[in-house]
Amino acid sequence: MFDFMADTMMLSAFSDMLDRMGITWSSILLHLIALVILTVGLYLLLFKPVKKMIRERQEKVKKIEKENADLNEEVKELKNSSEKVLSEAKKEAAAMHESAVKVANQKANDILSEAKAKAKALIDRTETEMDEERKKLQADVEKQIADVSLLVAEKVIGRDISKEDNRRLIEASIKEWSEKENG
Amino acid sequence: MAKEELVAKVVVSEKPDDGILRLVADFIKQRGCYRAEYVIDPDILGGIVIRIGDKVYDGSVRSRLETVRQSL
Repeated sequence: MFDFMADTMMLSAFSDMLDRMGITWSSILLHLIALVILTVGLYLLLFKPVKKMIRERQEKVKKIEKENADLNEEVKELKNSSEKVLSEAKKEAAAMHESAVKVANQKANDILSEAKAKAKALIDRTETEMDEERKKLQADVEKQIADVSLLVAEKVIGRDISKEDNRRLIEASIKEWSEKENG
Repeated sequence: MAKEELVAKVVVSEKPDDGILRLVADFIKQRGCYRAEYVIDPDILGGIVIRIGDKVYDGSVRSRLETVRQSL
């Protein structure tokens, strides 16, 4: 009861104060209505389009981010792919190099073997020719020695053979022929 | 050809003595030849060569040296 009386008194005092300031309850109500209308108008005309714009912008940003992520992923895949291709190319190049080195070595070995075989054949042929030449030369020398020896023998025999020697020689020859023919 | 017509050709290096002449005459006679024609050829160096028809008996020093040459 006391509280009610106190509230009533406070309200009365407040009304007196508003009266003194020239503010009435109806003007307050009008202001409130104007405020509500303003708020609704602002909500409809400004806040909603801005919110929509922000949402659209957010979606656009999200879309760009997604595209960016996709691009990054694609770039990453391309990078991986290029690295893989590069690695394979390097491996292939190394294999080709190794193969080329092997082929070159094989070829070099073949050439070397062929050259050695040719050199050996040449040496063998030369040795054979030298041997034949040496034998021929030896035979020539032997023949010349024999010729000279016989020439010397002829000279010596022609000069030194005596009449008696000649006679014995003739007798021996005739005896030999006779014995041979008579058995 | 008759035996009397067959002539032996005898080559010696120097003039033969009677002993050699007899020996040669006997030798050719045994082979059906009764005449000999002597030729002195110092190139045979010594010994004797007798040809009776196609048969040749070569006992010359030259031929012996030639045999030695061949064998060498």
